[in-house]
This record gives sequence, C-alpha cells and structure tokens, in this order.
Amino acid sequence: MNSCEVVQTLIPSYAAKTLDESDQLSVEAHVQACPTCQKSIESLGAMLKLIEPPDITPPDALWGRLEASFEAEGERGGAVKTETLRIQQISECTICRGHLPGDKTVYCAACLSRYHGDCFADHGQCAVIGCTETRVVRPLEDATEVPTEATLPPAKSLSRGRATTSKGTLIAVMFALTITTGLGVYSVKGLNERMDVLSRQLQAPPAPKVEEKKPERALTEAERMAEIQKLHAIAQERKGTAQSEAVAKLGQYVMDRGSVQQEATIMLGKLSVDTSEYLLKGLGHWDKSARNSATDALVVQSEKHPGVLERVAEKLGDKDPITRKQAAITLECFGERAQSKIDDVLALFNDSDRAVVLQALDTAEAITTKKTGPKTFAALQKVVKSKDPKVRSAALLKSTNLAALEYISKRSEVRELLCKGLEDSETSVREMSASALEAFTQNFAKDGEEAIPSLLKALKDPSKNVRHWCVEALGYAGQSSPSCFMPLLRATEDKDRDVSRKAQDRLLKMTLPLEVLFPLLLDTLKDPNPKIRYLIAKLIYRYRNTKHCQEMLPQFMNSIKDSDRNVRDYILATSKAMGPRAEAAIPVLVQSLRDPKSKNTISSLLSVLDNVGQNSPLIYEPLFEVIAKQTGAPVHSARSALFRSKCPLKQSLPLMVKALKAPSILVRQTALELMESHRLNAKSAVPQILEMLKSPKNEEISQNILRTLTFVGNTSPVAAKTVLELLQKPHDKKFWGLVGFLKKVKREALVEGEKPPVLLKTLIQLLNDKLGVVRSSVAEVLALIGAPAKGAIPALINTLRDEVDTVRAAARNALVAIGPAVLDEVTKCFLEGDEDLKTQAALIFGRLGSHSKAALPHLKKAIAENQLRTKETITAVKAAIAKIERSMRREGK
Amino acid sequence: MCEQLYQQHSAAVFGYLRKLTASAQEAEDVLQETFLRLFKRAEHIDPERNVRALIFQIARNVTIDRFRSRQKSQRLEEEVAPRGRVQNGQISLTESDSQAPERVVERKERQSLVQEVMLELDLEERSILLLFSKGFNHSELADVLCVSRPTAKKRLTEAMAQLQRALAVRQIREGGDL
Repeated sequence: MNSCEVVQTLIPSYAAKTLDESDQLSVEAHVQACPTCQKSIESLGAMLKLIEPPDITPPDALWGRLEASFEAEGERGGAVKTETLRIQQISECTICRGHLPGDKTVYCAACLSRYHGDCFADHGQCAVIGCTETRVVRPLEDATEVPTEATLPPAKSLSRGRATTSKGTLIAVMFALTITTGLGVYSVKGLNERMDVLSRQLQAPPAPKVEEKKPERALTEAERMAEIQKLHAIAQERKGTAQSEAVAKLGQYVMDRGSVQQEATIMLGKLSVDTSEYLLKGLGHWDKSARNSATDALVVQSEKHPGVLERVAEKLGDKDPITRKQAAITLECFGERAQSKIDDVLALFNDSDRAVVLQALDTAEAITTKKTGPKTFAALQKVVKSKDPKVRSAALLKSTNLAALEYISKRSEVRELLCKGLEDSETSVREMSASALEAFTQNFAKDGEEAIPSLLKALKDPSKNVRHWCVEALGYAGQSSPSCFMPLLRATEDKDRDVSRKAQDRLLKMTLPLEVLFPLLLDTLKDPNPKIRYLIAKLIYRYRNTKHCQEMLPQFMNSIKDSDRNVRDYILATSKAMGPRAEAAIPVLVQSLRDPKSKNTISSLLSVLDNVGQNSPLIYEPLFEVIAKQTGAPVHSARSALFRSKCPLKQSLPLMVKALKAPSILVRQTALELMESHRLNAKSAVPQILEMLKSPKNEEISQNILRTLTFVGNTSPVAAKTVLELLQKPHDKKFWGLVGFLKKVKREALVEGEKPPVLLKTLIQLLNDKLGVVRSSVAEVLALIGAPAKGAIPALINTLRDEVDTVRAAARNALVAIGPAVLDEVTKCFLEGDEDLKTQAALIFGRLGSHSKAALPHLKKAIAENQLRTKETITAVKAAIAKIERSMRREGK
Repeated sequence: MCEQLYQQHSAAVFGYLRKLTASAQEAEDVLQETFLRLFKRAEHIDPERNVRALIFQIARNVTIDRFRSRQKSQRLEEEVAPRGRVQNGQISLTESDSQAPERVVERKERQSLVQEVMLELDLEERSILLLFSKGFNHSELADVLCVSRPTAKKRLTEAMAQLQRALAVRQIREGGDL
C-alpha cells in the first residue's frame, strides 16, 4: 500500500480521535502534502458538523403530559402506566399503520400484533418478520361471565402441534378477564407472559415414567436430569449391552419436554455411537424447540455417521407432516452435504401439506449446488404454477435466489417467470415477483433490461408495494434507458408517498446520456404539475456544469417566471452557478427584471445578473433602470453588479456616457463613479462631463463630476481651460474639486509642444489669487509646463515674495523648471532683493547647477564680504556655491 | 429534581432524537418515554454518575427498542423526511423569503446530502456519530453505549469509516463536494 492508501484507512480513526500520538502526527504530516487526503478529512469534518444535533426545545405540552403520566403512575404504584402508554402509542395497524378503532382490532394469534381485520385478511398472515401465523384472535367484548379454570378446555383435548390455537383461545379468555374485572389496559408483554404460563400448564404432556419400579410417582425434573447425566456417563464409559441399554433409556427422554428433553437430546448427539434411531423420533415431537434440538443433535451425529443422512431422508416420506417438515429442516441444516437427496426433497414439492412444501422449497434452495441447479429450477418452474399463492411466491423467490447464486444458467427464464408473476391475480405473488425482480435487476442489470416493459406496466398495479419494488427495479434495470424516464417521472406523482419518493430518488440517480436527457428535461419543465417541474429543475441544477446545460439554458430560462418558487430558485441558481457561461440567458433575465410582476424576485434576479453578466455590456441599461426606479437593497445590488462588471471599457463607456444624461441624479452619479472607479481616461466623455459641470441641476454632485473629470479629462485642454476659468470666478463648493483637477492635470492638457501656452495669461492671473492653495497649485502647473511658461517669470519672481511658504516653494520649483531663462531675473533678485529673496535666489541657483555659473562670483563675493546677515541665507548661498562647483566639476568645466 | 433534570437536558436530547429518528412525532414519543424511565429510576441514580450520559443512554435504548419492535427497518426510511416543514422533499417557503436562490438551493442540496448519507448508516452508527458530533468524549460514549471505553472507541471508528464510505460513494456518483 502506498502512503495515501494507509492514511485513507486511518482517516476514520483520526476523525474519531482514536489514533495514538505517533499515527496522528504521521497523518497530519501526510495531509500537509496531499490535497486528496486533506479533502477527505475536511469532508468528514464538514459532514460531522452538518449532522451535529442542535438543541431543540420540546413542545411545552410535553412536560405537562409527562407530569400527568408520572403522577398517574405514582398513584397506581407500578409500571402499568408506562405499558399503557406503550399500547396507546402502538395502537395502529401493523400493516397499514392506520388508526385502530377498538371494535375493529384483531390480534395475531401467535405474537399479538394488532391489525385491521381487512388488512390481515389481505396480507394473509402476520406481517411481523419471523411470525408466519395465519390466524387471528379477538377480545371477548361481550363476555359477562368470568371464566374459571373449570370453563377452560381440558388439557387432553388440545391436540398435539396445535399450540397456537390454544394460545389464541387463551388470549381471548385473558381479554375477557381483563375487561370484566376492570383492571384497565394490560400490557401486551404482561398478557403474553400470563398466557404462556397457562399454555404450558395446559399443553404439556405428563413426564414419561422411565422408572418402572416406581410407577406411582413421576420423577421430578431434577431427578430426571440427574438420571440423564448418569445414563450419559454409562453410555460414554461402558461398551456392549450396558451401553446399548443406557442409550435406549436416554432415547426415551427425547420425547420428554423442556430442559430435560433438551439435555437428553444434546447428550445423545454428543455420543460417539449412532443414536439417530432415537433422535429421529424427536423430529415428530409436539414442541417445536424440542424438534429443533433433535435436528441439531442429528446434524452433530451426521458428521460422525454418514448413514444418518439416509435415515433422515427416509423420514421425508413419514406419514406425519410435522415429521416430514422437520426432516426437511434437518436436511436444510446439512446444507450441500445433503445434495444427493435433492430428488427426495424435490418430490416433497407435491406434498399435500402446505407447510411441508414451503419447507421443501427452503431445503431445496439450501442443498442445491451448481450441478443440481437446473434440476431444482425445473421443479420450481412447476411449483410456480401451484394454486397456493404462498407457494407460488416462495417458488419465485427461490428461483431468484438460485439465479443470484448463478446456479441457473438461463437467467432469462427466471426473469420471464418473475415478469409473469407480475401479472398474477394474487397481490402477494405480484409483490413477491416485484421484490424478486428488484433483487434480480440489482444483480443482473443487463439481463433485467428485458423486464423493463413488464415493470413499466406494473407501475399501474393497485398494490403500492408492487409499485414500490417496480420503481426500485426500474432504477437498476433502466438506469440508462431513456424509455424509463417518463414512466418514472409519472411515478413521482404516485399517490403513495414512498413510491413517489423512491421514484424521485431513482430519477435523480439515472445516468442517461446528456444529449438524450436534456431534451426530455426541456419538455417536462413545462409539465402542469409543479412537483414534476421542481424535480426537473433539480436535475438541471445537478448538471449545471455540463456543456449541454450551457447550450440549453436560454430555453430553460423561461422557467424563471414559473409560478412555483422552488422551480424559479433552482433555475436561477443554475444560471448563477454557471456564471458568465450562462451569458445567453441575459436577455431573459433582463426581460424578467423589467417585468413589473417580478417585483418579489428582483433581488434574486440582480444577484444572478451580477454573476452571469459580469463580462457583458447588456446588463448596464437594465441595471441603470433599476437604480432609477427602485430604492433600498435593489439599488445597492444593481450598483454592486455594475462596479464588479468586467466588461471591456470600449463597450461599456458609451453606456456610461449615455447614463450621464439620465434624468435620475443617482444614475448620473453612478455613471460618474463607475468612470472614476475604472480610472478611465477617455476624452470622448469629457464634453458630456463638462456640460454636466456647467448645469446648475448638477450642483449637488459637482464634487463627483470634478473627481471623475480629474481621471477622465486630465489630458483634455478643454477640461483644463474650463477648470481654470471656473477658478477665476468667486470660489464656491466646487473649489476643492477644481484644485484637485489642477493637481492631477497632465502637461499635454496645458501646452502643445514648446509653444507658449494659451492659458498662460489665465495662470499668471491666478498667481495673484487670494487663496494660497490656488497660488501654489498654479505655480505647480507652471512647473509642469516648464520652459514654454517663461512668460510667467516676472509673476513667479514676484511670487517668491509670497507670504505662504508652500507658495514660495512652488514658485521656486516653477522657476527651476523653466530653466536658465530665469537666471537674469533671479540674479537681479539676489543682488537687489532682501535677505529672504537672496535665500530663494540662492536655492534656485543651486538647483540649476552649472547653468548658474555666471552667478557664482556674486555668490562668492557676498560670502567674502559678509554681505549676508542671516544664518539661513549664508547656509543657502554656501550650499548653492558647492552645488554649482560640483556640477561644473562633473561636467568638466 | 425531575423538573430540573427535564429543563436541563430535554432540549439537547430532543435535538438528538429529532436527528436520530428523523421524525418530530417519534422524537416526542421517545423523549416522553425516556424521561418516564428516568424518573422511575430517579431515586436510584448514583449522584456521581454522569446524568447526561444516562439520559442519552435511555433515549438511545428507547429508540432502538421502538424501531426493533416495528421489525421493519424500512419504516425508518419512510419517516426520514421530518414531518411538517419538509414535505415530499420540498421545503415550504413563503414568497416573502428573501434569501437568494442559490442559498436556498444550497441549503436544500446540503439537507438532501445529509439525509442520503445518514440513510446509508444504521441506527446504531447514526446514534454514535450524532453523540460524537454533539461533543461526547470516548468515556461518555462508553457510558451511553454501556460498553467499555476501548469498545466505544472501536464502534465510533467503525461508524466513522461507514460515514467515510457513504461520502465517498456519494462523491463518486455525483462528483459532489460538501
């Protein structure tokens, strides 16, 4: 085994926390590297989590009922109440589970299970597994006299082997006693016990008198047991006559009763000598358990003495049917060792006693081998024609079992028998045939295919059990047969819940080729029955990842308007799970979204569109419509879907631009935000945005407009011009947006090549704006323009005297950006200006590097002659000198 | 004392029984009988004994008794769909249920998975897995099952292996994930 296989076997123990530490560590180490095993553990863990029972408060009334029951029990002082409750709880028919009115209840004569009289009659025998009683008893409701022992039938009048009849009588007596003495309801268990005691007392024959010397007194059980032990010891230790006598005496106890009989039979079985002569008598004992112990002992004996088999087989011809039946049971216990006796057993198929025939069928099945299989089957084929339905049923079952063991080469014949059985007039036979066909098709699905027509026909059988098994059988035989689809689908409408559920289950497990299945699904999705449509929708969802589903989805999509919510949910979930592969479904989704009737499903539709239409431009318009018309959650969902869209901008931009003209301010705002979120640089949208900016009705969203313009139009000269013009006007709430634009504007929006910019005049004017932030922003813009902005040098020199540090710095940067053209003006500033201006000029000289070499003598002179007063100026000038010299050195000048 | 025991444990036991029996009505009946049996023994309960384990032990035994007495294992399958809310595999939802369809569908699919997988297990296996998932340790499981600790561990492992098989079968059949 490789390590994966080992770990797979350890996973249950790992999940159950029963591994020792070293195994646990090795599993964990393996799982780290093996996704398959990791998935197994995760699945198991997830399943355990799913099945974890939650705490559920029981209904309030339950405590009241419990209290009342408990109090009542206290008063009665015993367990009567508990048993009463039990009886009440099971006061339903064992077959149909329907309510049992007292006057219509009958009881199985053997196990006292309750039935409707009709149900029992239909079923033919007790339905409790292991009980084959065919008689019922009823309580003596009108009994007015209390029966006494004298009124009970005399013990001797009860015939041997008729225990159940006398039991039945006794039950009736006990019920009469119960009702007349007013003791309330007895438990079934209690009743059975009492009945058994009485039954034993009445039926047991007197103990055999083995001690001839004391005929006046029968031996007690203990004495007989001691005698058995003694005789067994003699039979074991002695030889010859003494042994034979001891065995013969022991043999007499075979017809005793209870534990004495059991003990004697076991002892005889164990003896090494052949004791079958005595044990064979036990096969006709009146007590079933005694007969069975004789059978057991004979099985033990047969292992030592081969002749036992022959002698048991002879008993098959006994006059007593009970002996014949028990002999057949014994041969059944011999199993294949008794195969040579198959002919004798098959002969019993014609026995006059039904019980013997039924047992013979069991025995034949047990002792048949591959060699004798055809012979047994030939006999079974005759028995199938029996008049007795129970025998017919048993024969059908045995045929199926032999086929399953592959003892019958012609399986088709078995199948034909079973199919014929489906048409039997007796319900029980049809039920058995259907059940056997289920087993047959499970074993031989291919052979079972031929049975499909019969099974389909039987789906209309009046018996729900027949229909149930037929559905099961069709599930196996017709799993991949298209002809089964529709009948199974119709079977889901069966009035019986089990049949309907089983049909559903089988349908969901069908493995039809998808090219066959999907057209069927499409047809049936229009079925008038919502339950059928729901099932079909479920199937479609199951195949959501297939190509066929993708191809046919647009046709399925009409069902999103289905009147049944389950259908709608499953179809929507299918399209959502398919994501962009379900793009073809968008038109239907959109149509549904626009339909005023789909008000309740709008959230669902939006969530599906979000997934399905993430690459499609088709969702934009409908989603903008939702934003315009709806409020609350749908608007939020529509906006989210738009923001998540991965549609190429080439396709979506015109739709966004169009939305900028929408009457709804929320739509316009959403369109702007969408552009902004895409960091969209698109000159085609600029005119529209500028128009919006000028319109007074967009005053509220002017900030949004400008933020979007910053991304969309920061390369547009028109946008730059408009912004600068607006800045010249008195500042309003747009002000920060305008400044923001200036900070992000690109050079190409301001200047064309090296020509002096058109906007220079405006910019120079704005350098005098009353707000520092405008002045600094404008200076930054000029820096961006660089050399072509040399017309602004005087204004910038002037700005060097600005009261705001950041403005001065921005002006300095702008002058540096303009380049050597500023040197004359700056030198003039240095020579004539105040200390602060000198500092600014020195900083500019430094930044311009070797370009400022003409200013170097002035700088050095100022230092040498101590013309400078402030420390800052001196530092700036020294730094400028150093920078210029370093720059010159670097350039080799 | 009885009422206190009922208040303390009834919800947990009822939840366990609902999953074990898959029927609200059956769970109620079993719960009633469980507490009746418990109260009858109330005076003899060893105070040092784990009462929770005892109650679950009784509940489990009552359930098994009832199902055995019916003799028809199929009966359990019939009643798997809890009565009331879930009928014929459909969950009754109102139009006002605003959950997204895929959530509703996922929940339904998960529910049907749990049902399918649980049906693959017998009552004993289901019982032990429910108790384990509820947080019973090996000693408590041994108490509930009335077996020794090693036996309880063995049974739990077997039940877990059965669950793993059921899941694997389901995954092979449908290629599904949890």
